Amino acid sequence: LYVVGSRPSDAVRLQQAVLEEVAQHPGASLSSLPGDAERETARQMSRGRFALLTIETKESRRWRVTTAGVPLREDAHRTGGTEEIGELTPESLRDGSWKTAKPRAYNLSLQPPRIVAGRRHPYRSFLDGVRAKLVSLGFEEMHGPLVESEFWNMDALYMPQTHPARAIHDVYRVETRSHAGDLPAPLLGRVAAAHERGEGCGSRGWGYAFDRDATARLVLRSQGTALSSRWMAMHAKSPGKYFAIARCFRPDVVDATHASDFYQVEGIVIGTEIHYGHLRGLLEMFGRELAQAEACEVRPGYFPFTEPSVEAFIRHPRIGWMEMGGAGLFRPEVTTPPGVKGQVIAWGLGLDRMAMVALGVDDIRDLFATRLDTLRKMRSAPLV
Amino acid sequence: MPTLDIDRSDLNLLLGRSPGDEELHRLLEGRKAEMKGQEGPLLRVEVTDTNRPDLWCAEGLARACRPPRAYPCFEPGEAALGIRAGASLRELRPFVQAFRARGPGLSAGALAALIQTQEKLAENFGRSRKTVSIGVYRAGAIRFPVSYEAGAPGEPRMRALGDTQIRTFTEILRAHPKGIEYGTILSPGKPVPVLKDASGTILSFPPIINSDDLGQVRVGDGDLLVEATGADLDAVLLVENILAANLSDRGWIVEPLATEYPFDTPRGRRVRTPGGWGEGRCPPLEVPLGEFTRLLGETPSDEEAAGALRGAGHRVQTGKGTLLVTFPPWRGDAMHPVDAVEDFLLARGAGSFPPRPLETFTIGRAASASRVEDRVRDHLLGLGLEEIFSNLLCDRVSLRDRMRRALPEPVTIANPMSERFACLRDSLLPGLLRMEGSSGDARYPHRLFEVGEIARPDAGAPHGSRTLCSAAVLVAAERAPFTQMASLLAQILQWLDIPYRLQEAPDGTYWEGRHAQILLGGTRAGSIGEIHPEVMERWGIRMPCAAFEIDLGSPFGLSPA
Repeated sequence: LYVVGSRPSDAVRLQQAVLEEVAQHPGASLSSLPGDAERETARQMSRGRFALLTIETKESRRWRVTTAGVPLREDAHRTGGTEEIGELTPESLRDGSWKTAKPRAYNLSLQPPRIVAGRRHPYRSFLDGVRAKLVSLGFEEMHGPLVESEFWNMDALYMPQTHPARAIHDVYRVETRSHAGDLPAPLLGRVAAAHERGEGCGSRGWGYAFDRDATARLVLRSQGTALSSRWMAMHAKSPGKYFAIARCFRPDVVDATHASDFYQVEGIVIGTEIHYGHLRGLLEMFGRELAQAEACEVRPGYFPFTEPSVEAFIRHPRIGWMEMGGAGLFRPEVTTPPGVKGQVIAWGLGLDRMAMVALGVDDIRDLFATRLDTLRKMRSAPLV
Repeated sequence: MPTLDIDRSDLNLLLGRSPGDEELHRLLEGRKAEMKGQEGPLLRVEVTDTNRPDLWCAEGLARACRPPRAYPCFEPGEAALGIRAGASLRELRPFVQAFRARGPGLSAGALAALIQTQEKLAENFGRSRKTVSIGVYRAGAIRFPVSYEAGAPGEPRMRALGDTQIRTFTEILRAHPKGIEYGTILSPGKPVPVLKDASGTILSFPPIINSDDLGQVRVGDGDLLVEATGADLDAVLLVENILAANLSDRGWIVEPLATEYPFDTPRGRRVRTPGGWGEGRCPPLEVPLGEFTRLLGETPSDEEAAGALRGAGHRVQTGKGTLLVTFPPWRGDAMHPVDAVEDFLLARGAGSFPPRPLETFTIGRAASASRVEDRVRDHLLGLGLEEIFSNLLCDRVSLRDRMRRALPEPVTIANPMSERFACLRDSLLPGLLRMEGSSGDARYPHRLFEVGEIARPDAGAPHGSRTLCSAAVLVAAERAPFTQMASLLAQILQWLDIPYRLQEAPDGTYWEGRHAQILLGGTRAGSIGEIHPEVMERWGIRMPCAAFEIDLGSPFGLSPA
């Protein structure tokens, strides 16, 4: 406060006065300070980072009935008056005091306080709905391992080992265990023969030397059809309808349209009289039942394991035309080695897009959001 | 799935007409191709059939949209000797086939198309040139027959396409961009394939690069040698056939040439380029009419089926209830009668066979694992917990370092795209902790759960891991004591009618003395406790947390996948 050798300024003298007053009478009111200048100084000293004192503001109120209210007060006392209560209590229920009280009405224009509550994850709930619908259509659910051998994931599906989609950048290999130890030997032999010469299938085959080491290599399941391939060989019956909602993995840069792992909904329909017309019928049924489609069209497609193959498009009442998925009849090179009786329709639906539209999500990564606020704001799929 | 840039006016020239956008869309759709857009004169087209390399070019797409025509070059006939293949390359890259073609000078559009087709065929069909690579040369200055021999890497010298200096092969491998990109196809230090004409002028080092003079094709050139080399003779010939058909479509005359081999090949010791009908990958297919019925639900007459297939470019002989179908030489996809039936379907139109409802009755059923998961989820929801849903892929740090647990390595990807998604989760807790760590701003309390698949490493399992069902709960609140979690666990297990016991056991994830392992029927099935403050620090969590995780497989008799 002092600069050596000079006299204190007016401001400094005021500050000294305030400090002395507060030191002698802590908790004194602001009005006990002698003048306006002192009161203003005190206010300044209570602000900022280096405040030297604090000023507490206390509000006190007093109520008084006005002259206009006096007769009303007397009136109330005469008629017994009703007391307004905010809440019922166990006591007032016991002693009956509620009978002489009037409930205080709520202000309906106020928003109620937000609560924290549980609910199903909207995306998972959407998939639950897909499962329920498929079960109701007579489909049995398949399941299998996340880590799969190339045998089931590709070779048993007659995908040639030289196919571009088997390159190092199209499927995840496993480092911690490189090869499977449990491939079924007789089936493996028949599949190898199918690839090499089409033997037993009435086919020419792909005409290359089948690599028995590569077929045992382990990958992260890259397509749901790997489950169909397993199931067809081990469990499926004819006639039969099967589905899986399977988490799959493909190497891709993760961005707004690509997730690190994603769901595929796919399956098979087996029967002795099944043909291309039924394939179209199946796709139309899916469009109608799963996506409220008004129309379903097909156009030629290609998969190494089906022939013929189609891509399916549906017309949604709000969104218009969109791709729904693909389907085809399994080639004889796929159905003969496991000894399947009849024809097999293999179908697959890309529902992530539909889910994103239903949930109002633009970025596919938000389907597995890692921030609670993002999740809480996500709406549930419309009930239809 | 190759994507092509096609000059629209060039395509119209090949089609013989100029279809509007809508008609072009439909035409391409029928050939399993999709128009992705147009920029200036170039159409972006995606072709989906990986077994139809003939469609990966404007000429091929146009050919599939026009009525068939005759190709003299595929008819049987003599072929002059074009190439002498040497025994020295038998192990390395044995096959080389070429034809000569003369015609009106290459326009800029036709040259651009030729270069793109070469690239697409060698990359996608030829597996980055390993199985097949292609070279095109100015034939006028070539002295025939050409020789195909191995040379020592340090000896043959040429100026490579786009280069300024004459170099040895080893130098080209090191300095030239194509050498760097494709050099791995050849073994280092081993002999290199050299294509040389009769006067000793080097044409190219297949599969790496052409020479700069004979190997540089320019606009206006009207006399070309089109060559392909590789390890699969049928693949080499298929590529040659496609290129021969393409040039024929542009009005060029294709002059067949033969290659002589000093060893036996699947097609003999003297092999003609291009190949003919019914050879190699397109032998005649016997297609009984019953195949049409089986696949399409309809039986066409002989004439209807034959007519449609001929319109698609096939040669068809009708017989007693069977068709003998020979695919054209530029196709290699004739494996089974179903391939012919599909072509019939395409000719008739994919939408021309009406949809039929499925008629067999089957009983629908959810998998036991799904039913168990749903029951547990219902109970957790009933307790007011919020469900989360996480990626199965995560990073190693999340699964190990941040959890203070010493466990065997999780299932790890050998070729991950990023460290963040390099392992399969073997527990649900990291996903819950990650959610908590990024949700400090969301209203508290946080009472979260997840039920889902995990991959637990297991050296004894055939795949080195087992896919299991797990359930986990995390509570983050100002007060998150062990007792609260224990009450939740007790309630859930009571509703599920599963007797359990808690027992002390070391677990670095939890705070000492404030956790337990969960035993179901005497076996360890999970853990429960207050999360260790150090774990919370590693996850950036500032609110006390408690959790439990429990394996759903054993109590419900679910066999792991």
